[in-house]
Amino acid sequence: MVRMFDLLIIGFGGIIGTGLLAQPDLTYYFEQGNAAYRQQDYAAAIDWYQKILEQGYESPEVYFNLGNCHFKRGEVGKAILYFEKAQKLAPDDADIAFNLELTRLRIIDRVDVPPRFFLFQWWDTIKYFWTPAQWARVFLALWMGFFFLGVVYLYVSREQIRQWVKSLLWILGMMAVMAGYFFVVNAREDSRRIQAIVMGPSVTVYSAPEENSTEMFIIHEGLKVEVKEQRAGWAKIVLPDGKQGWIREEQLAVI
Amino acid sequence: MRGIILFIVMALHSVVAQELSITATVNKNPVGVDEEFTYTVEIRGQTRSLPEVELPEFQDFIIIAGPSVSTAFQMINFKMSATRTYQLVLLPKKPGRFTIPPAEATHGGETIRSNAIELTVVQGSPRRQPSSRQRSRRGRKEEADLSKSVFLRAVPSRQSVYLHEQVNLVYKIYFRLNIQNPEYIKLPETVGFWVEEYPLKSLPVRQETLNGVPYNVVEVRKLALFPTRAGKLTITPMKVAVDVILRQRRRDPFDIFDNFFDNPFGKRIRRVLTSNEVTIRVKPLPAEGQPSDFAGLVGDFRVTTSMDQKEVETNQAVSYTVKITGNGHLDFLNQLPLQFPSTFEVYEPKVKTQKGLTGRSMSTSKTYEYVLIPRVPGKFTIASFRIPFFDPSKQEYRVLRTPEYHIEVKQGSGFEDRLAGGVVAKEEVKFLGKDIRFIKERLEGLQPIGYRPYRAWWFWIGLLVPVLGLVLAYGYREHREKMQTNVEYARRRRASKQARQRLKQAHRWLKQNRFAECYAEISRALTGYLADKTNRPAAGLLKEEVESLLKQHQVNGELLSRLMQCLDEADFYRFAPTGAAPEDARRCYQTAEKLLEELEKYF
Repeated sequence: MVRMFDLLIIGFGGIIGTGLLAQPDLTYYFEQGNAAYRQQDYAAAIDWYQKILEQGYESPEVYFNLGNCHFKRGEVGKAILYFEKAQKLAPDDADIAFNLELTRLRIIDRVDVPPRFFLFQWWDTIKYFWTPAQWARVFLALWMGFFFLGVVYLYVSREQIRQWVKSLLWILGMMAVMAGYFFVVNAREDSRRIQAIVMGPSVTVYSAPEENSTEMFIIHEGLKVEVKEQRAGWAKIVLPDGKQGWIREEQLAVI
Repeated sequence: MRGIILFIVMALHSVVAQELSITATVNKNPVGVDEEFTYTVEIRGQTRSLPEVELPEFQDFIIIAGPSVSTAFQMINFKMSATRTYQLVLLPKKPGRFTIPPAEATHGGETIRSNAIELTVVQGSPRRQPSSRQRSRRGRKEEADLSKSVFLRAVPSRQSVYLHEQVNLVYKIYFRLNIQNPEYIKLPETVGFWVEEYPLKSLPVRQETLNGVPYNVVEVRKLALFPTRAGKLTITPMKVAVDVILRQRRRDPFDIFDNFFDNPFGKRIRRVLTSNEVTIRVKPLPAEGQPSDFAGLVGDFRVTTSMDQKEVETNQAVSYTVKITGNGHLDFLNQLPLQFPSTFEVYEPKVKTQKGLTGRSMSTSKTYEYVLIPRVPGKFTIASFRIPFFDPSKQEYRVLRTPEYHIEVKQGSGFEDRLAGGVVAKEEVKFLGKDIRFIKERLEGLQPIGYRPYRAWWFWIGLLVPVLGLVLAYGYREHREKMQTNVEYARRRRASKQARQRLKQAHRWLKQNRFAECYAEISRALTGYLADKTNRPAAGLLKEEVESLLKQHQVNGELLSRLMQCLDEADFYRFAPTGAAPEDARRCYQTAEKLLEELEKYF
């Protein structure tokens, strides 16, 4: 309950913040960045885009353009990091998906993930069809629709319409439950799962969070890993194929 | 008959009695690294048929000559004794202590072994084992003479070259004595070079004067070297073994044996000639003016291109050939920086390399033959491309350029043409551009970093409001239904509303100074309220009933008495012929209003 209250406070602060801070500045930065990019001055473009982030704002477009700049500068790790960030905000954007895939061709590590059972694949497709934020909105809309229809049901007197409304209520209810489920699952994952991109050109993975423990394998810049645990400057990572190990935290950048 | 038997017995005896012995010896120990020595294995026994000797393997030595085999027979006390000798001339590979394993022979199912030999190989010239003073002196003198009259030299064409530039290295034998049978023993190690060997078909002998001394010279090996890294590169010496024919001085012309045993063509000695070490200084290519697409080509080159057709139908093959010729090493050139239209299917080029080693520098040519199959009709251009190279003679970078080709592709009439219509393989389509998509130019989804709608208050309010709405809607519907179907409920719910309406009416009468009606309305409002609340018929509610009813609902005594008083007053004035004073009526109305308010708490 305390947690929920906190969330409310944070959310409230966020809304107030959105209203108060001046936005025209940010579009100015964005356009300056675009102009620099067109003149192939990628370092300057990066600076402009970073200014937007420094103001505490993000958008898929800013991340996408940052990824492009880093790609042009040959910084594969950073390019992938920003494309991933962009994709997290806009998972169904074709441009982001294209550039991300193209950049992935440049990284050294090819981790083969065994194909999952097709039902799980479908499940994941539905689960990641929207971002947690989008799922929240969908759920809210369905929820409101359900209750509104409930009120309609109470006051409609004609039996035929009542039957119609009733079956519609069933459908809407089921959809709301499903959307609610996916929203909760997504939001949980969003707040607990940490994914990161390897930044060092070549990073040794150790069996324990110590420099002198056994070296297990080597990964390279641009690989996406999951962070399971963090301890005293070390992070326990899991590769897409399930390999685990410890690396220094500064070799990672969280998406 | 007797004789035959005797012979058989003797033969048997000879088989049984035979005794084989095998010994191994070397003529020098210790021995120098560059000094050959003789290894001898001798097998002897009282038999006519000596078994073959299996010689050991010489891993640490090079066999220069041999094995030469000689057999000798002897009769001692009517017994046949045979000796067979195997001789090998060996050269050590490196200094150290080595063991020559025993030689073996198998006879009659038995294996006999010789002794093993521990041999010490020392660096440089060895201490000579003094066997005979005279021989030693003679040998040394012979050797000194020999190294002056027969030697091997490695002569580089230049001492200092650019990276990837050709330098030639010739190995020549200088000789004043006759030599025969040259044989490579150790080839030079050319670390840091690409090596091409000049083919030497015959070995012509030329005359050359070195330090005023005329020599016969033969080139035994000629290499074209291309250094692959800058710095000082060293080529280790080469070793060649030759037979040197010594002209024999006659010690005693009348000594028949001497003359007889001396080779009439002179004495033959197997010698190992070691060349000098060669050091070449390799300069790095100048960084100034180096084109960015420079791939390391050094020399002098030309390029020619050709295309067999300029107008084709779709799916007809076109051959495009690029030929680069010149002096220098072309192996540094791998793929050509060629860009073909993406609708052309391009096969791996057929690459032919030719190297000609004649004269001073290597002439090479590399031909790339591309087969292109246009899949889509249209006009296409095969772009020009450039190959930069460094010309060491002019000490500058130069660039080869190919011409542009225009090719017109017409729609073919074949079945395949109609079917395919320019389908490229899927993967190619996917990343044909090889470049990322352009940046987004409109800022749309701006939000605070880490913003999530479900952390906002309106989200939770939004969830709660519909629930409340439904509950309220349900309650209201229930209420409305009860009002229609349940009289008691309806009366109870309507009681205060009705009482208020009556009081309002009373107020109206009051204003019109019709006090009797006003009092009647006040009385009706109060009793009607109680009757509605308790579901009793309003008309028959007597004062006593009112009193007991109020007591049932635990209305306190003070309120009860005030109510009773008000009702009494109202009843009194209702029927009083004199009529009431306006102030009284007003006060009564106000009291009733207050009473109704207080009563609401109890019902």
